[in-house]
Amino acid sequence: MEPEMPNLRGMLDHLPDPFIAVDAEWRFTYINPAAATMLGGGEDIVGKPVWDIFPGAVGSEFGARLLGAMESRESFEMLLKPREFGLDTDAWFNLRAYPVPGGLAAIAWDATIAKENEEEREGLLEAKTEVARVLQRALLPPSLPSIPGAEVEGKYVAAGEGVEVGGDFYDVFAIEDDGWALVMGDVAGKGPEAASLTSLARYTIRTAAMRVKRPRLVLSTLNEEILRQTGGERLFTAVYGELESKIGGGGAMVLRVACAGHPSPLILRNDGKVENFPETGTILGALEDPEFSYREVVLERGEFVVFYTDGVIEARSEDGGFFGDERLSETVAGCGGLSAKDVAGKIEAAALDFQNGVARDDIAILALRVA
Amino acid sequence: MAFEEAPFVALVHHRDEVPVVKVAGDLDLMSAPRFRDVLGKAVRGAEGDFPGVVVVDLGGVGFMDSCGINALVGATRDFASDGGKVRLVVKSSPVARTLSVTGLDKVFDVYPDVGSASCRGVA
Repeated sequence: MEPEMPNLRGMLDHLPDPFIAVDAEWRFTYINPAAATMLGGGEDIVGKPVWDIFPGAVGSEFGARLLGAMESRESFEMLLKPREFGLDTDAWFNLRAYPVPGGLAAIAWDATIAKENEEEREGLLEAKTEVARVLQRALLPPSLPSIPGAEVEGKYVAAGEGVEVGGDFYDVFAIEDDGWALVMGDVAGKGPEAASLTSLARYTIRTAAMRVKRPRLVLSTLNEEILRQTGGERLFTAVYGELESKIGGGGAMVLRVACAGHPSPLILRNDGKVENFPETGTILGALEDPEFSYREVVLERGEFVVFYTDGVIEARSEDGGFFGDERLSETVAGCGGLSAKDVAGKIEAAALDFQNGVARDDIAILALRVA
Repeated sequence: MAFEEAPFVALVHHRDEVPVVKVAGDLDLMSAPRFRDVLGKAVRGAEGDFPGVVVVDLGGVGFMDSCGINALVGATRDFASDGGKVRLVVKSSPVARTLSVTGLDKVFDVYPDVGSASCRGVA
């Protein structure tokens, strides 16, 4: 025996969710009791045009989508605040409208709790992003010192939406009267724990730089401090350079660089050649007696050096390819004659463009040009 | 990200009684905790052996970042300081590059394949 056809009208009448139908002229053809209660009108709404009952919907996004659905015969769903259309409720409703023969039907259901949860989540995320922003600012110098005979520029881009504080940092400071220190570092991981180690590293380097005045010893001091503080649970790469004027060098400067497992800085020579350091030393925080690489280079006027973190070379394009060392070298090779500011900006733009403008990992860049 | 990231896998099997941690996919911020967990268990299992050897087969890893490095070093630190040997099998150039830049290719023994890495007694 065929099952009996249910009374559909009766079912709609009993739906706890508001349900309405309109004809092609936008007149209500049906409203169920739940909708009648909500609209505060009742059966007498039937036959009246939607736009008379909800003048607030005319010209609104909701109104436009209704018109679109009637025209295209395609359904849509949207979150609505009925108070905006003159109804006396602070609830939020999800409404789904869909074409039916001769018009449109719509069903709505209370989404207040979901909306409140979403707002709470957004608020928390915003607060978290703000904390990350404030922490991050504290880990970077507010402005770079002006170095006589050189220009220097730093760039920092937080990964993704910047919700997490990153582990990249850079620093530039005067070593008493003995020249200038340039630092770039990268703590593995993200969040407050990485940030506290970054802060420890930054101040340990500043203190050690004044005391030992030899790049590799500065990094050794840092390694000991990191091991002592973290028990070897956090690794950390860094490159530390000391810059001073070359005596009798006609404006040239000497840069002494020690590297601890960090990607090699790149140097652009006046003849257009890009140089790097073949040795990059051992990562910090892993061993009691790491070996750091050391190089001394002379930068003539117009030449520059670029420090960067792996967020630049590990940038990934849509097809999964890496930005990579070669592309970075090519970018740097094309920077001849530019200011430090433009060099840093050009590398930042190249790495960001490569990944559609959203950094997958933090990016830090420090460019120094001998003026 | 539009590109398909290879699903991350970390499994332990044995070859000539040597534990081999086979890793595939990207070893990064997301997968590092799981890698560390699996590697940690393999290392603890090998602690009774003498000489303890654990092979980490990174042959299927296309990319390893500083979080992967952190997990690798963190999970094997105690084992290595007690004389245990951690041998890495490396095939892809991004992984070789990460190990080389961080100087860890001099800290771990690096092998081209699992067969040579799992030979007992050969340093």
